[in-house]
Amino acid sequence: MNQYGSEPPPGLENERGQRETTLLMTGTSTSDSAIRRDPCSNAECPNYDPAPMEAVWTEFMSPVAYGGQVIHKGPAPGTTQPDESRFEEIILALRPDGIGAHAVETIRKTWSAVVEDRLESMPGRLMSALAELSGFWVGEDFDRFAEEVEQVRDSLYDTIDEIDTAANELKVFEDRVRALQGSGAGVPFPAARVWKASSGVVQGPKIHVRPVWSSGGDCDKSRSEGDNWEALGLPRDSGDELRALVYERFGYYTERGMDGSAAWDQAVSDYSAVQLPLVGHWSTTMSAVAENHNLGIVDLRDQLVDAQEAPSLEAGPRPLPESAADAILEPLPELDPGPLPQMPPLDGLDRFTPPTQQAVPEFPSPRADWSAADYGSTGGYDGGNAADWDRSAMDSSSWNRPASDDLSGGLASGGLPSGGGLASGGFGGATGGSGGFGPPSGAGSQAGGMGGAFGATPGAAGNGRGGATARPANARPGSARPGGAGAPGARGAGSDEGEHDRETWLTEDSDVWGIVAEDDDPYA
Amino acid sequence: MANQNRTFDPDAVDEFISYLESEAEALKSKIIEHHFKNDGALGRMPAFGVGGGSDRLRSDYTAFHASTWANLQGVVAAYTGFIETLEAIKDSYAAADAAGAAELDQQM
Repeated sequence: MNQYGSEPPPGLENERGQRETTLLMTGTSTSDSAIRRDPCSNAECPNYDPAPMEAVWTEFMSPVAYGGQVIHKGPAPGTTQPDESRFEEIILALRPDGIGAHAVETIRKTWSAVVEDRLESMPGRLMSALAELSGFWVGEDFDRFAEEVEQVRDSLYDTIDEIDTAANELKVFEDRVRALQGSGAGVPFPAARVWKASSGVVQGPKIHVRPVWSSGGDCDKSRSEGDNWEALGLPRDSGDELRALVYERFGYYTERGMDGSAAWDQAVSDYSAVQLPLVGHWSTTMSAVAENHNLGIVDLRDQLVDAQEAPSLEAGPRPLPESAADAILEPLPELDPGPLPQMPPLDGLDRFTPPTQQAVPEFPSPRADWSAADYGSTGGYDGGNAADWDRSAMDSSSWNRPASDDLSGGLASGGLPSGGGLASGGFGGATGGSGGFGPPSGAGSQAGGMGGAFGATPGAAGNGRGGATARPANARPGSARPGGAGAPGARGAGSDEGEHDRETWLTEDSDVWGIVAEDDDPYA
Repeated sequence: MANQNRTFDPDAVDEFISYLESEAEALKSKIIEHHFKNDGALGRMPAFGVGGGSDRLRSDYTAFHASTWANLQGVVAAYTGFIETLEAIKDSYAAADAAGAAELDQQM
């Protein structure tokens, strides 16, 4: 009898076709139809494919709760993030012009308006008119007619209820999406995935960086050493700082009578143990921050999926009165799907900004009498999470050298044969004007100020001692490069160690410092 | 009204017909034409997103939309059918009246 409700809604078929297109265009899903970036050319790189986070974020951002939504980038401390122009470009692709007309709120409010302005009063009016008519028409014909009218009245009530229910369900969905997408306060953008290809720290850090929708089929890894440090959230001149420490350590040994070669080897060996905590610092903190950040986005997406699965939208077919059977009905017009999210244009790293620089764990002073074992056993920075990604997290006491009674002896042992400046603050000069050699921030308890802080306040070029924390200026000797005499081939040609598993970067030979030549860049 | 003895008053029925016509017209112009068609908001698929649970939601919405459309069309169809029915009943009463009047004439 009912000729309306039983037909398959034509919109459904169209919608399915539309969906396939959507998946193809956004690379969203699940299916093999998604666009995938090539995996990194280094088979060991875990940043195999950025598509999963792209899909997650596309799913997360694609529902539009309300029109005119301004989307801000939320804070993401410790991660590589797009700048404003890149962020907006990606948003515009996922939220093409015109999609605001399809905002859930806009449509939901229209349903409500249809009920409030039109439908709500119809059953009452219909019954009033029928009551009026009953005064002028009596008999079986009227009774049959009245029954049909009442049937339509009931249908109207049902329809009103169904629309009200649907509008409420959509409102709940809308509110959840609005809240999940930050309520205007900012949405988190996926952190670029970062992977350090080699275990060495100073020697060719070889940091792979791959943000979502990055161009090229590979991780970005052909950057300068400074860029690489920066990608880790460390000062650009971190390598210089560390090298300078070793040079100074070398000087310390030579002034005690070691011959050049042995002194160098020992200096390198000493600091080789120290690098391990730095590696740990990076891998447990830096990568964990990015990972946690992205997992947080996955969680938001999952909550969004829950919200999408919640609404109960139902409208049952209504039987029509017999009299209506011959009436001509308009075919259902196709629902306008609206603009579909597009795949954002791919781009390189130019419009990404590295994480905010963090304080680096303190390294032991090169002019103290210490053995590598003292530091190798400290265990290094014990990890962290996004919440800890701040300066204080880096001041872990685990970085402080155990109090040593040898420090003053070391300092008292005489001037530097190299003739390096002893003037406080001179350290900046020793590292080529990189500045930012902050004083140790956590070493207050140690006699004589053990351990030089490593770049606590980078970027203060010419500032010598940086100045992160107060510390007696004379507690730590300035230093210059070790004298030329003993420096054994310190800047030899680039190592070919590449990404092989070098557990240490200073133990093997003097060329570990080598500046990698662009041409035989071992990045791969 | 014209005749208090009558159980069917065509004028009152005409009034009811006018009412139905205006209601059907309002449904068509104020709801169907205005909201469902001509780029009205009810002709647009809400931006439920892609992937995730959006497919089911879109499918449910599409079904809800189609059923509601059909139900509103059904009201228009019912009103239109009522009008036709009432016109037919009016005609039959009028014919009966005419026949009755002719009979009366003959008796006179």
